[in-house]
Amino acid sequence: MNSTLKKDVHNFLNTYYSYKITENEKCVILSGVITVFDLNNVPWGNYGIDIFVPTNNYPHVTPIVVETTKNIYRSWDFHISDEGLCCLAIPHKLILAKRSGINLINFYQTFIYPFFANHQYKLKTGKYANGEFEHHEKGIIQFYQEELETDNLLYIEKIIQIGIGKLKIGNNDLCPICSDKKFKRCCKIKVLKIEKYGLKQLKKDLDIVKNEILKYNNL
Amino acid sequence: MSIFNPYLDVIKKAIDRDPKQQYIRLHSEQPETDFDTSYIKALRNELPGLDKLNETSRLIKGLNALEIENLPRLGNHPDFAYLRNTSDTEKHWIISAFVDLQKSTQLHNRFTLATAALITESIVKASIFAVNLCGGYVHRIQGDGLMVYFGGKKIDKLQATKDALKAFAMISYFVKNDLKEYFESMNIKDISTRTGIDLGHDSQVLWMYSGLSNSGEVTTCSLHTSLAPKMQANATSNGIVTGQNVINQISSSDKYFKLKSKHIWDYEDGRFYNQYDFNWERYLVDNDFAKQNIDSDLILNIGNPVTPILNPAYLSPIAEINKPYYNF
Repeated sequence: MNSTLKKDVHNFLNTYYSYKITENEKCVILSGVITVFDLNNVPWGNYGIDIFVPTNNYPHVTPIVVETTKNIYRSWDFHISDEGLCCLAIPHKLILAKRSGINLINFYQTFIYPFFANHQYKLKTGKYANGEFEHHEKGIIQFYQEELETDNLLYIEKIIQIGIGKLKIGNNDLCPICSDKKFKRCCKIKVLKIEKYGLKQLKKDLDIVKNEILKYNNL
Repeated sequence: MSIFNPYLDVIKKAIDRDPKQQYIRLHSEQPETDFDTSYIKALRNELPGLDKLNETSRLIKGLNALEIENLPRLGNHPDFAYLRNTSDTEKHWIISAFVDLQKSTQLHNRFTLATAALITESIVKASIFAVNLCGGYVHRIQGDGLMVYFGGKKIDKLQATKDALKAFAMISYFVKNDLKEYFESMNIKDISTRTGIDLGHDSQVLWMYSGLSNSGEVTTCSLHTSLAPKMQANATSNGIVTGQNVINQISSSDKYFKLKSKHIWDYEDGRFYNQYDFNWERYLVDNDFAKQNIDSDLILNIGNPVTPILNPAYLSPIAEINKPYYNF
């Protein structure tokens, strides 16, 4: 355990008192109970959880959360695997957190607690508070559509290609997508936005977008 | 919904209607004239009585909880009341505790005397409620402070220790959470409790009647009763300090108690008596007396109604931080 992780674990355990720590070779495991409270501090439900925090490369890691009490029905609709692994967010959000370095308390408040609050919300209302991404590849397409504010798959493909570096564009070149303004004043800002997800993810996403375009063309 | 809400509600109403507070807001200077505070009498009657204590007791202990018809009078612990107006004494263990409010005098600058008195009365009554709910005995009231005993002849020492820790954790919770949040919204700052708790064993505590004729009380003479207020003086804001004898009763003491750098007593024979900061927030959560929300604020779950009313509008701001995705 490096000193940053030691400090973060210490702060976490002295902030959220229901958690206990165990360790294995690869992870620190924080086991405890989440009670979901709303803004009026009314309790909605409890979940036993294990938070697996990788020790290697901390804080540039993505903790894994397992729901241990089976209070969430194991189903795609609840974004949980048969083993209780919780899909906390779209990978891109988790990548951003990982790249900038996580802080355990902040990760708990941003990703973990809201996941369980949203489960309670879904149980009560039949839907998620802020909608949801579609499952698997379709969810990735939806993410780019929302992030780049367009349904145009060809546009999304171009932006990702530029992000990966497959298309080299100079700042003062005409925007190859819109063709009416310099690139730096046109779509560059969107490329910068997605570049943060990293080459590995962008390559995967480009394949997904290309497949979707192919499917569309074959229709 | 906290069990202390009825006390907080009365405080809110009193502050809301306080004429001096309103006058200062409008005119910035304190007028010399008297204010009309006749409404205070009705508010005092809104403070919960024994009914609330019995109702909460039933919620916690079940329907078989003994009905409390009256609370014992001050300075007259029921198990030692026979010593009153006698010269007899008895050695018997007891846990002595002192709690008071810090910086409550600022209330007099902001509010009429009647409002300041009602705020103090509400906090004192809330504290008496918590002490009695946990099986303690209020020995003395002094302004905004209480002297309390936990223990007696039919009570197990370990149980009394746990009860005392629970009661003062609840009082600290009330002032640090429910009350502080409201006071800060009214720009009243830094009001907090300080508590000192110590246990004296059979050989260390002498019960006796102290006073002349009816002007007296059944009280204890003990180093550990005397050390409790000294520990109280060493407590941080909303802090609880306990003596070594208290932590010796608790098996998982490492989790909750931190040795203070300075001992509280020097026996002058090479021995020292230690004092410890009590992490009452961890104690409440660990023992399932409280849970924590997203911001780690404690929410007391003692005596809460079984079925809360769930309104998604209040959950939405937290839930919508999450937008779920599935890819396993």
